[in-house]
Amino acid sequence: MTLLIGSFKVSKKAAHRGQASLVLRKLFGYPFNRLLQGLLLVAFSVVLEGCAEVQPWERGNLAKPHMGLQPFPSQAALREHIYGSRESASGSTASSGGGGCGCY
Amino acid sequence: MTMRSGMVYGILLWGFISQALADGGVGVKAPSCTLSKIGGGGEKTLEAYQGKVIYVDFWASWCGPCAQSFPFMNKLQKELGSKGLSIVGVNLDEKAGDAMGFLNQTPAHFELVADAGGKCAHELGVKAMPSSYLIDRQGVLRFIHLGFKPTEAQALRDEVEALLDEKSPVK
Repeated sequence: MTLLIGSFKVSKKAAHRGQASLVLRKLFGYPFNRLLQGLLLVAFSVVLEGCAEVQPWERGNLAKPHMGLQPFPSQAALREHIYGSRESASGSTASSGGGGCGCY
Repeated sequence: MTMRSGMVYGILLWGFISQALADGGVGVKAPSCTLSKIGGGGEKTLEAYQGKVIYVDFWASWCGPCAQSFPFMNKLQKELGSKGLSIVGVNLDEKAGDAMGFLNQTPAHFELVADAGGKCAHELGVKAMPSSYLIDRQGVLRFIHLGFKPTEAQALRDEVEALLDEKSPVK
């Protein structure tokens, strides 16, 4: 007996056994791996489309103080200063101020 | 190498080559950017300065080193302007108001223009803020400076003076 899916003939036995890859192979005419590769390629190209390079001159918003990882920049700067003078070495932490304009 | 992998490598190679060519190299004729004058009053192209040494500086209000470079550029324009130097400050702020606020605090005594959408910055391949481009009297891009450090100011001035001393184009 044969089961008709689309215009392809898939054996009912195979479908019952749950041999998905075999069903898909019959359906799409080539091994399932190739189909998966194709789908991955499509997914990749869709994701890559969303990655836009932020140009050096577009970092104005990133340079704002409130874009910094520190919620209280002035407090952090003060603590850093005290820590630096106690340890008699400064610059152990990243300097405060802004998320980074990437300026030279 | 199969035909398909050959094609892939070919496309990658073409990408790298075109990227390298697009980055506006030194020694090549500088693009004629269309820039709008700050505070209204039409457009200006870099070609309009033909015969002069152009110091194109890309700046933005949020950029600290840019503010540092302004007094230097003011001095340069004042002292070398009569020899044929034109400093063009290209603003890249997204909001024009930001630029005006910056200029109130940091006066500029050279020509100021804005590059809407960063088209000119794209053409010249600006990689850092600030970036300065020195273009000679023939319109050829000669030097690119990334960033501004007071310690490098003298070397920059020497380059400008060397370009000014070159013969002006035969007319």
